[in-house]
Amino acid sequence: MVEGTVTIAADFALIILTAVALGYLFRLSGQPTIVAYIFTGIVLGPVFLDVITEGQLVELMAELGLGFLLFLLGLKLRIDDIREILRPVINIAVWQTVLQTALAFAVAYALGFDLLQTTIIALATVFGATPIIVKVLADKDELTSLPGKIDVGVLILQDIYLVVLLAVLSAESFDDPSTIAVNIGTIFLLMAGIGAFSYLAARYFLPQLFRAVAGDREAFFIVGIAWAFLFIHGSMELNLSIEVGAFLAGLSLAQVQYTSELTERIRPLTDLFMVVFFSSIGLRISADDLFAFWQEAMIASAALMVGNFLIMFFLIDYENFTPETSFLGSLNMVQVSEFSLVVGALAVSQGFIGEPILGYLSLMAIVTMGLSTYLIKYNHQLYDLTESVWARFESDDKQDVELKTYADHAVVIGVDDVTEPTLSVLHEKLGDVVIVDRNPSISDRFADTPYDVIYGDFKHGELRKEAGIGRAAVVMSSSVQPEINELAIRESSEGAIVIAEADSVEQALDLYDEGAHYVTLPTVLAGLKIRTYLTQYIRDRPAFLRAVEDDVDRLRQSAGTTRSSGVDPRRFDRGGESDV
Amino acid sequence: MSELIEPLAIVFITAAVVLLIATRYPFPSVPLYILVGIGVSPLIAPGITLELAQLGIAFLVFVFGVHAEPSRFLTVTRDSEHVAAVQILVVGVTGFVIALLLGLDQLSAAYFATAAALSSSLVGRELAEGEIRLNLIHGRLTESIHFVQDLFAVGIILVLGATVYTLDGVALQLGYGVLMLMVAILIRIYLFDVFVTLSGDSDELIMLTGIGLLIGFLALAEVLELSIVVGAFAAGISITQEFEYNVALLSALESIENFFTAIFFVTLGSLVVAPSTEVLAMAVVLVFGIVFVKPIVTIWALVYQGYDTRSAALTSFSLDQISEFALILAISGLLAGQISQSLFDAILLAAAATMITSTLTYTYEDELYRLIERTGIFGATRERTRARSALPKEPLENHVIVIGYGKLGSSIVAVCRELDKPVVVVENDPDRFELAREYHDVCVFGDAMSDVVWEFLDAERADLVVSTPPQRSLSEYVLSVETDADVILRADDTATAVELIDAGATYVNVTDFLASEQFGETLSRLITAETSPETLRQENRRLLRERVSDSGIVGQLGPNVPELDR
Repeated sequence: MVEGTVTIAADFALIILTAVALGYLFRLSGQPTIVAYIFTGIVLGPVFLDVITEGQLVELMAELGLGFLLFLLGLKLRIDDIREILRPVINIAVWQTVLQTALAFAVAYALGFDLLQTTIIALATVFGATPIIVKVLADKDELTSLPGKIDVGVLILQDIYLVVLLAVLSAESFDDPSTIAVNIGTIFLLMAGIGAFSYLAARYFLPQLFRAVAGDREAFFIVGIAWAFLFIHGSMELNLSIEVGAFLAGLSLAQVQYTSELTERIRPLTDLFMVVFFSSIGLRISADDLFAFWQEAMIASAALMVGNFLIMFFLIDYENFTPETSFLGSLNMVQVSEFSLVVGALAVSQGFIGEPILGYLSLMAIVTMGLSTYLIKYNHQLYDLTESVWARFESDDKQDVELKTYADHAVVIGVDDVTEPTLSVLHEKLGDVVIVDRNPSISDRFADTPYDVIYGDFKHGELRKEAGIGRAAVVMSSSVQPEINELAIRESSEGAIVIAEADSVEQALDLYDEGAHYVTLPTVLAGLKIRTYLTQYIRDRPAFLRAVEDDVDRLRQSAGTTRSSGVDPRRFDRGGESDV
Repeated sequence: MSELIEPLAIVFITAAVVLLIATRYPFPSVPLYILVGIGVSPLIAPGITLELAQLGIAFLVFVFGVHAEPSRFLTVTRDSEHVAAVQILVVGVTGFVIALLLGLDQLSAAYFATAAALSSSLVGRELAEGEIRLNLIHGRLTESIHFVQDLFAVGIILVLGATVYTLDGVALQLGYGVLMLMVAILIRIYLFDVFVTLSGDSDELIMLTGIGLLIGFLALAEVLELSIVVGAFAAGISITQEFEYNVALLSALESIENFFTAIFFVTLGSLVVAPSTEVLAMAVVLVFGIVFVKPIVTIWALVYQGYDTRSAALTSFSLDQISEFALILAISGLLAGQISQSLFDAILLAAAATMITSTLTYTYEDELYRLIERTGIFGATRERTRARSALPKEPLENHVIVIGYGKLGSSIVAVCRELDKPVVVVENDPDRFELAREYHDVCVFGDAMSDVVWEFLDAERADLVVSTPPQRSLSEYVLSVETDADVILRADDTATAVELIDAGATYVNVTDFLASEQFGETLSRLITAETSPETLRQENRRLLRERVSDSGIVGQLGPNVPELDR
């Protein structure tokens, strides 16, 4: 039994509070939050204040931070997303890995590191920083543009490579070549085992599992977390790194249709743990270590940024994309990833390299991430400035692949008796119809229709981006929750028509004021209809009965076509419509 | 590798399995977590997850604080305030005396009494979710009584958390508590907006700000030697929900809360040691008090306030369990050495038990209500109904029975009166009932699902029954009433409507269905319109305004409505 009163760990509190403060500072200067978190560790750690001793809680959260980061990465890995450009992407990713490893190796070796150090550095610095690229591109709504897709595709393949690398690096002994071979062999075998298990689960078990709990928000979330822990714990027992387990757990879930909602539910937790994780990296480095190789780090950063850009540019260009695509796609990828720190930290704990190398890697990550954020932000301006340089790569053979992205389409928030009959009209007039609905039975019901369904809560920003709400021509909401309708109005484009539902005239007028183009008032309409019927009933009952008969027929038709769910509809109600 | 990963894996995997099995049953998650904890306690070292469990407490209270808008403190209906106070006082004092009789010291008796008096809003609100959404009277009462109780709970924790029980000690404690709340309110008014503006639209940063505020207040509470509950509550108050990206913050907090509260409740369960007879005896006394005494007190208090017996009984069935705040208090008391392990065990066991029995009482609420009515302990319902209702001098004939006097109900009554049709209104919300009585001669106060009420409605001679709430159980009840009258009901979806028609309803009003017909036309017109969206917006807005002012009834008309006589 633990004695004493209930308290919150001081180290955790300090990390969070510092991270918040620095987060704002970095946000104002347009920097990614990850850099702020690494700085948090550096500020609190031996480099500056030296006020933190890592307790149990921080240690756990840092570990979970890495685990959940990879879980989330796995969750987002949907091969479908890049299927159209899969071949060029594979070519680019493979050659990029080879060439950049060679470049990083050459630079590090030239800077005077020994062979083992150079190898680790070369392995660690090859990755692009997924969180930064994805975040900045998503903010600019360029994630689904061609350069964005190429980058995401390359990053996905890099992630798979990373997981293998982590598994190999965490092997228990590297004493002689034969044990290394056996170890690596075992690791691949185990990974294949877990991979096979997760494949089978995704195929035969997970869909039913998640369908069973999709109606219960809490159970849905807990089952998702438990799935991650099952793999994390399993790979721990098998002496694999927890990252491998977490990644495969996510990967198996990624193929299940309910993932988009799960991703958004897990993300906040991951964000919280990640703060602790990246801070803990900063915490491990002392001032001497951080600046031990600062000149080398600066030189290497410059060399890698330029080198990586050129490598990517020629690789994309070689696949016959236009120079603009090549330019944008490679400019996004010039930074050293946060995973260089993950690999570095692992190599330190395995005794391959010393802390100063981790310091060197951290410095590179900070510098390149910081700079590349601005490069990505102003990528189009930079291209316009330098267009003449790239003009020579212009040729008639080169052209961009046409990508399927949502544009001038319809986004329907929630399907109900009001919106469902209009789906066909929307499809006919506009083409793509994307439904966002948090009732799991909806995605089953519309599986074989031309409408795309995203399972999840419209309140999640990422889901709204996935639905392409900013490019939609019509946004139609069947929710009467003002906050949902306000989101729909705010995030749709100038020219889009926004149609919302309201509960009362006051609410409807508010929605008009905020920018809705049409607000339907079902309760009011129904009230009027009932008044009409009642008047008829009192004056002429037979006429009423005839009128009602028509209505009942239509009701039956509608009920016959729209019903199928086994899920209790009350749970998904939009709320508040009953006070009539 | 952290030694905590394995226990966490055990906690979550077991919890997931149990939740999966339980999806078939209506049990709330909290008692399941406690049972999981009791089950897995041999597998995890005692107290190992305690540090994480504290974050569970913190987030639990924090989220409650975030949702507690200060403006609500002022507008909580006086009734629920009184009922909550009476209930806490009566049950608390009884519990305190019984605890003393059981041989507990005064401090332990106070913990015991708190456990008996406070109800769990997590469980109660989850159970009554449907009623709260339908805005039925007992749903509304359940929600607001829980809210008031939770506020009391924070206060009680503030007092019981005092390290010294002198008048000065408690006063100091209260003073610091008030100080923290004031700081929180200042941040809410002046600082939080600044944070929101500075964060731009970064969901991540605004979430982290929320957590930062929480951690900051927890640290402050620690410095002032207050319970973390008070800190977490103050932190919740410091966050206003009224900003553009609030949905992102709220859903982020929900995830984090779900994660840590699962750990918290499982940890609580895992701290229970093998129960002795003493523990079981105390637990049984607690369960008895909560399952029998508390509902009786609640019903009595509500009936005294003027609610009908059925609404009162149904409300009480969402209040008959131990509060999660009592559990927080119990674990703080245990850790601080203020209560014994056996009292802690008893409270925990009773909590798990009552949360489950509460699910049962809720499921069989109507059967239980009939039982209570038959005993007649709250006075004869017939007499009460007669006394409060405005009944006709002679029996009604060829009349219309209107159930519910909301927007729809009142407009139906208006039509009947215009056409000189006799009408009787049934309403169980005291406020609406008063409104109905002001305008109409014949009104019956009571629940339309109570047999007694129908005795006053002369259903056998009625022409028509119109039921306005879309509540399925009510619709079925109305169909079971013996009458030749036509029946118009209301339903939420077309499938239910068809079933009700097959069961004998003349017509069923489905709001969304009626709206959809006309909606399709409007949509096609909007998409193909030559005019700019902005013009359309202005036009539709103007139409709505015109109709409203034409009709003179705000809340009745919308644009493009079908003509009344069509």
